[in-house]
Amino acid sequence: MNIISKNDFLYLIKDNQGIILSVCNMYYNNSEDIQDAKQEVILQLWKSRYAFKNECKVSTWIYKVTINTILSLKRKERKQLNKEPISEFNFNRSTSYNYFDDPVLQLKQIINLLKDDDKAFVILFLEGYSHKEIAKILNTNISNVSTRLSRIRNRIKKLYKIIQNEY
Amino acid sequence: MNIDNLKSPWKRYVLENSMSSITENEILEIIDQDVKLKVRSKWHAILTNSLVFSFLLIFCQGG
Repeated sequence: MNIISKNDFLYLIKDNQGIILSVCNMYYNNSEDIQDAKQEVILQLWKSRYAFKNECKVSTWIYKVTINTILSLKRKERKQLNKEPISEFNFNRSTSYNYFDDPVLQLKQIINLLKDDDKAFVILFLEGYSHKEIAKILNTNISNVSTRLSRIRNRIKKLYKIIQNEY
Repeated sequence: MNIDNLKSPWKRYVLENSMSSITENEILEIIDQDVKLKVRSKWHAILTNSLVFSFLLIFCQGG
């Protein structure tokens, strides 16, 4: 697929909407923000469709554009609000739902506690990408990916303990 | 908690999200936004260039 036509693009988005929505939902909690992020991602995918070559899978390209668009949105927001990323103590306990009952909710809660950049590494790792592929998608090197993922593993273990104590 | 244990919930999460639908109209609206912006910036560039050219033609002639 060298040139993506309007029709191809429609099918492409429909086939891969799970990726776009999952990543947006991992970075935003408010439905309005999710909607805005989703629109921006679709727009960036449309704009960068000429840059897509068959060097990688369509899903990899979608992950790359989606994650990088959201990270850049988050950076802009942080600059505007002069706000730090969500801290590990900012855990949302408003839900009466016991998250241990639902592995998906558990996943969301844990990822929600990570820093924006770390979320990208975890999402790609969970999707099954190798360290080399993650490095390529996030424009970094393999050793950085290994170091970050190892730090994130420890952080998740720590956070899990904190959450367990909260409940 | 092992991070690998989150792999299968992630697969389920992506699958759940692929059920909800982004409508064709929604996608087309977003694409059209981009087209409109491109047209607007093209006209803006033409207008700016014409103004600069006119200014140079009127005030910057001769030696």
